[in-house]
Amino acid sequence: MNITKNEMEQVTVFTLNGRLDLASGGDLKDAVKSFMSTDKNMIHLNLEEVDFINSSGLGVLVSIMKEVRLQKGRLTLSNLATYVQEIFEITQLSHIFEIYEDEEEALRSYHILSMV
Amino acid sequence: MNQFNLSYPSEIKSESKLIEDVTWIMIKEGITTDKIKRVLLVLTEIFNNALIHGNNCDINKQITVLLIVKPDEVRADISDEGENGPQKIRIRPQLDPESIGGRGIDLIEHFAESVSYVELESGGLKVSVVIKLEYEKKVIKQ
Repeated sequence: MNITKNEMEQVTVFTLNGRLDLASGGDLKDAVKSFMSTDKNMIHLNLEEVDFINSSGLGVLVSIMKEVRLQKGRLTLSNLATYVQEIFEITQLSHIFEIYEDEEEALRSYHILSMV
Repeated sequence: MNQFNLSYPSEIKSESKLIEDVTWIMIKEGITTDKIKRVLLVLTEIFNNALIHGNNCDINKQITVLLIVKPDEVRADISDEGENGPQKIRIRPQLDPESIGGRGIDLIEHFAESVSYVELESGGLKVSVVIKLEYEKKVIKQ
């Protein structure tokens, strides 16, 4: 999996490309966790180019969510393909994660919250 | 109907090899990308269970995959060389929504037409699955 990082003022966006599974999940977990700290704890994951995900990949996302929570931060996801969205619904993870239709909408939520 | 016999050592990178092999087979059999994804999802879930829970990632143990591809369905038998029979699957506890693992069986049972678990004489587990290629979205339990 290819992971690109874009650090913005309020949030850091990780754009994922490829498969999110047992083999690649570790790379994502390492990339996000090694970056995070108490002042870098607003994380957005863009999954538009994720063409395959299984329960191992879901486990990595849950693990990242828990780490973000530990750092008192916020994690959002966006651009889930229909097939990926269905997997989130089947596993009830659509209730656990904050999921946006697209990255723009997700980033607007960070901007709005930072103004409050 | 075409039949394929595959075998992999029990290490994490074997998952990628399985995905590559099955993708190649599906494309060769003329199966479209959207259908391949569901087949891969079910097969990797079963495979990773065999890898982690069956064979404990012991590289000296093999996972064998018998794949049968028909125009309307894919059948697979995935066997490990472990010692954990089907009991562990039947008595699995209620999943905590925020647990890291434990979602594989639910995904298998959602996307597969049928799945059965048999303990092999050697002590390993064989999981047999049928995946219909024409997918009708099931009602998702809330």
